[in-house]
Amino acid sequence: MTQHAAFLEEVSPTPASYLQAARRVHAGEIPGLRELRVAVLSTVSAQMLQPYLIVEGARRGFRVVPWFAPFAQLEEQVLDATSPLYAGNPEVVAVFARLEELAPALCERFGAVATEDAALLEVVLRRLRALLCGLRERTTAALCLANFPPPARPLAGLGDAMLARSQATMVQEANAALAAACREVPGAFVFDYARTVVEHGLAGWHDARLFALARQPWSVEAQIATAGALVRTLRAVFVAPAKCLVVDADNTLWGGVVGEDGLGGIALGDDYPGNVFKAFQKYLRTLKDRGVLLALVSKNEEADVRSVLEQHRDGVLHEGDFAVRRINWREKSVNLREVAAALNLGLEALVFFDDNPFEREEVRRLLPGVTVLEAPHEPLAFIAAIEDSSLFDQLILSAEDQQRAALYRRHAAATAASQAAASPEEFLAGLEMVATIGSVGPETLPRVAQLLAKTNQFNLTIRRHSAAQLAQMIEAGAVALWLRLADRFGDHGLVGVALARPAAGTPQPDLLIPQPPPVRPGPSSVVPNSAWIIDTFLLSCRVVGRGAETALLAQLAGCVRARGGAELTGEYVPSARNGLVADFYPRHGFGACGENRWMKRLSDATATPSYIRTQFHE
Amino acid sequence: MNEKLFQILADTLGADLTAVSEATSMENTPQWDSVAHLNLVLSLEKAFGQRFSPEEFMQMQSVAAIQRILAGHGLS
Repeated sequence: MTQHAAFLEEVSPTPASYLQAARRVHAGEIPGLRELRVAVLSTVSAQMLQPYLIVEGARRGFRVVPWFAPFAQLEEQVLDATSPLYAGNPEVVAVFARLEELAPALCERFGAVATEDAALLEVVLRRLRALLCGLRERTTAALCLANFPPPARPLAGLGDAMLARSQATMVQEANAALAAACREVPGAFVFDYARTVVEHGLAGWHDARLFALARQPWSVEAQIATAGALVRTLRAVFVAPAKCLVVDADNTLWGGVVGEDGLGGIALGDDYPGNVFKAFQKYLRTLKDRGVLLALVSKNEEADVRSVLEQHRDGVLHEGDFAVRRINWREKSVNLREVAAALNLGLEALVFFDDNPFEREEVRRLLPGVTVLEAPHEPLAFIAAIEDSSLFDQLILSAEDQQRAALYRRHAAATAASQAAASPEEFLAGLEMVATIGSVGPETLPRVAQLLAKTNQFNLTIRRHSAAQLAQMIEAGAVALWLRLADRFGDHGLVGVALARPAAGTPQPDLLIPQPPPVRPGPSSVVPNSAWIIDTFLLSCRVVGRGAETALLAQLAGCVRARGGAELTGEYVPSARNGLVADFYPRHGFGACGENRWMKRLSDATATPSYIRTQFHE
Repeated sequence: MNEKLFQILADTLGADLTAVSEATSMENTPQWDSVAHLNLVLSLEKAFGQRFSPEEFMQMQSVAAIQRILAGHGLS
């Protein structure tokens, strides 16, 4: 939080206070916020959310510019490409459609005619699916669909819980179907409104007076909670989760100091206070399972820490759970730099959690790029401090996320093997690599979009197209390829993306970042679509340096040629972190044709390294 | 109490404190629209620790009416 944002800390939970703060945000008093145009469609009057969206948005780094459709207008806005909804060019469309309005009969007469309930619900779901598809055809905005909260007052009263098919269960089924619908539409996400209501509590959520007077269902507290939760979800849509959590050992992973208290003297077990630290270790394990890399940095004797990790009978985390460990007496800032280097990450990918304020201050001062979390004084609050920071929020978990720690360990093993081999080629040949390349489709799109969102180093252009934008480009004729790489150490998963489009004739989607002007065919103008441009080319850093990029480029060239392409242009858009690939195209036989721009005739074959077996799936 | 009331009115309507007076009403203040009205009454509830009925919501359309209803709640 910058000093400019101090007034956000003073906001009290009243409309007057939020309105006042929202005006200051809107006036630009907090510099550096990212503008976010959010359109809200709703079956109720949602306009009162405005100041809360703006203030909660500013707290998470956004200058939210909300727009509200007239209440109860869904199809009217969505199905008309000339509607005000699209005129505002929203980056997010949030849909708040309540079951009470979508299917009044279901809410007012549930169970009265049991056979009709399922049919009524199916109508609702079909309508919502059609809305999502209608939006997707007309905008590349992220789509956030609120799910349904549990019924405030089940019609069967206390008896609902005993029904074979209760009203509460019906809502859960509806939510599962709604999530399935979102999974099928690129760039569509569930906004877990149901969880927000439950977290806050149904009692006190609704204000019957406001609903009766103005079709506005929420209490002030509910307006604040709803806006806050929606903005947190939007942050997860637009900001990739932090990659690595660096934790301290003493008084963080366990209570006490192992060097003084000894293995048997530290607090880690099933009784207080040891159970608090055991629970924290379990939480860190779930973060790891979600794909967050854990690193351990401790001022200690290495043997002491190792004895806890490997021998303590109540330990949950072991040495293998940490992608990197630095246990020594050097400054934490020095060790954090090494952690970043060992994982091939930038400092901004690290989040530091340490109970010691001195260490936090040292890292804050010397490594401003690292996010330093304030560790609460009370260890019971550690989990909430990390989880509620929203730094690790992630809306879509891919299979790759869930095995990332294992992949990084293999990376370490492969690095060790590289030191044993006589020459790099010999080493690469010994890896027995298999590159599988395929066209991006609905199953691979989420992971591909995720790679675009977070790859910084081996990324030629750093264009952060969303899943929806990618789908639109593919629809418009772009060639989009994914790459998986496996070797004798294991499968690295989906680690590469290449995207090429005709240089002329294909409009670029609305992009989130400024773009260089598109390449125009020169005077010796070619037949339309014979000149292609590589829009995006990236590789996950854990497989850099193995020739997989060459295999991917060769396949891309082949696919473009099959589409009638005769020449392929590659660009390099320099950023702070992608110097690694500045000479990527010249190294692959492309000839210079402008600043940071190279071209290759596709009549010249692109070689694939002999030590990678490549297979292509259309 | 008037001071608090005027401050809330100004904050809610986005008006200067000097622009708010005993004579201010929904009728003579363009920013005092229906959404601002709900926000105003809800802010008054928080500030004065009261809960108003839907009828009171509908009646509080001027500073004078608000003062009268607050007085009815024992605040003056």
